[in-house]
Amino acid sequence: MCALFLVFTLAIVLMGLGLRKSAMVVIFINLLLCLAMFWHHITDVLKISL
Amino acid sequence: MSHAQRDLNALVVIIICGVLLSAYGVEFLYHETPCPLCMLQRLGMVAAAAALLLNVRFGIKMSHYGLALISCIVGGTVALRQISLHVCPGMPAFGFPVLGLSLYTWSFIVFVCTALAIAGLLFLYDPKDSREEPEQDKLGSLAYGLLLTIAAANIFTTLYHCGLSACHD
Repeated sequence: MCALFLVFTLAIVLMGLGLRKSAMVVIFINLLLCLAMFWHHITDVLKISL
Repeated sequence: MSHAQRDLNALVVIIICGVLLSAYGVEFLYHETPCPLCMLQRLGMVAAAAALLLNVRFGIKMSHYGLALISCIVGGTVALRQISLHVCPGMPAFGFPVLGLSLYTWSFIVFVCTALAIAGLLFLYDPKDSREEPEQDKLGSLAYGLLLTIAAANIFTTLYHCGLSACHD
């Protein structure tokens, strides 16, 4: 999970370097990874309760 | 108008940073270890703040607001999921309550308020503003420095609590 924070930090650094589109793409992809992690958590709970 | 809008965006970023810092306060003062869903909510807040920071650094654009709204929806969904896990009678709330509400409930309120703030900022949006060259001011630099520090600090605290794998419940 620390990798997700690392990637967001990288996006903020890219912003500082003036790379707007790269920062946007990195934020968007990282959000998708967050959603994947959330989905993994939901399916884990479902497996336990079923 | 563009300058005022950038300042308002920077203000929202600073408020989100304040919320993230207070989460840190609860974590360290009350020795609360954050759960995986709490971490995902923090990630959603960092993403929303980073998307609004794009407006501060590169000028107002609709795509930045879109990204911020997606972040609020992702974070809000995670918070709602955590609320639903503890809403049943007999299920104890997770963590230390702040002003009578759990942190995940506060987190949901923060996401909803951020989405409403973005909606308010969109009312002020003028396409002419996106063509103006942004200049850096103190408030923007403060928002950038705060968010960068908080995001970097979260790398180390998450590494300390969870190691390299996903956090455990």
